[in-house]
Amino acid sequence: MEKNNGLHSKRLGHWLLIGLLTVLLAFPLSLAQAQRFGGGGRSSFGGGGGRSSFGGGGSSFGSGRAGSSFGSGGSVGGSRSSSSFGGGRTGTFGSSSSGGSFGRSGTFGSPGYTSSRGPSTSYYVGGRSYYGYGGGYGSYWYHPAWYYWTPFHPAFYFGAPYYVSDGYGGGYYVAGGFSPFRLLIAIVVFGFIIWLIGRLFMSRRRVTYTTYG
Amino acid sequence: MNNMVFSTGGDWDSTTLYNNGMEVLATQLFVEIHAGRDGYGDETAGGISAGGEITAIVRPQANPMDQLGIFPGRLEMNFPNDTMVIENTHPMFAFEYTRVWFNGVEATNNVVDIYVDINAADNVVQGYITLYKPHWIAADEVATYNVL
Repeated sequence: MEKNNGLHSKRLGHWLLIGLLTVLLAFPLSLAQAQRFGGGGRSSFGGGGGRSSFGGGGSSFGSGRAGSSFGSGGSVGGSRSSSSFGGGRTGTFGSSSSGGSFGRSGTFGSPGYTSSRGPSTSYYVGGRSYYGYGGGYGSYWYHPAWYYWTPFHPAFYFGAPYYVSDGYGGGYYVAGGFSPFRLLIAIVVFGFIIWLIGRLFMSRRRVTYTTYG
Repeated sequence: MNNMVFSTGGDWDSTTLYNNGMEVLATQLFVEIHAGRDGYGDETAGGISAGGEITAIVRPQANPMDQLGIFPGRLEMNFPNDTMVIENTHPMFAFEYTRVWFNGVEATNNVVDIYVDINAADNVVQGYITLYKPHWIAADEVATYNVL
């Protein structure tokens, strides 16, 4: 009987592990979400959908310890040493007196999520330094180069940055927008180039007759 | 090999012809070159290398019916405002070895027509040269220079 009970527990543990892995593969998390839980490898245990897979109520990081798959019941591999985190659980995350798996108690600190806005850049205009968010071809004009004045670079089609007052005596520069006039100039330039190439290499020879003396 | 020098100041009295330093009493000096044309007869670049034909003779006063060939050799013609040199030293007088200079500039690859007729018997004097001048952007030019 004991042997049957042991085999039954072992099989249950295997099925729970398979179910856990299935959940992990079915709900991949983004890096931002992973960082919320303090680390890439640890994030697999986060997420709303994963909470219920641990069974029981309450936080998956704390009160469910007694019934969790990592508890003393040894439902994962039958013994603590076969846990996927290896070794003693209390030694991995810090103090054994902590209320949760991460060795901390209390509310969460500042969020570690990354900004979803574009890359920020500092630029100098008129001898002053500004800090603003870049993005777009118009931002190239914060650091102008000679080839921006040619229609072969995307920045040519955008206007120069213009100053915007913030209403408090200061202000900042905003990247210029698309310039249809510059597009017109580029059309003329490219049209001339195409015409020149056609005239040089593809046009039928014309001849004029002149008489001297 | 002939080395002829023709000079004229614009009238018969100033018109002379020398061959290897010796004066030639001639009735007519006739030079005609046709070159620089394509298969359709239109002017084209290339000059002598495009093929053609040349006729260059002197009829002496002693026997006006005789036609003495000038080439192989060299013929220099000095007109009042221009100079023209035609040279062909090939032993067989092959046309493609003809070289032309006009006012000191070689025009071998630009020449289309040369016509010089100094005919004392008929009192006819005529001379012109036509050159093909290709241009990159503008239209090509077929320029005719009247030397007489």
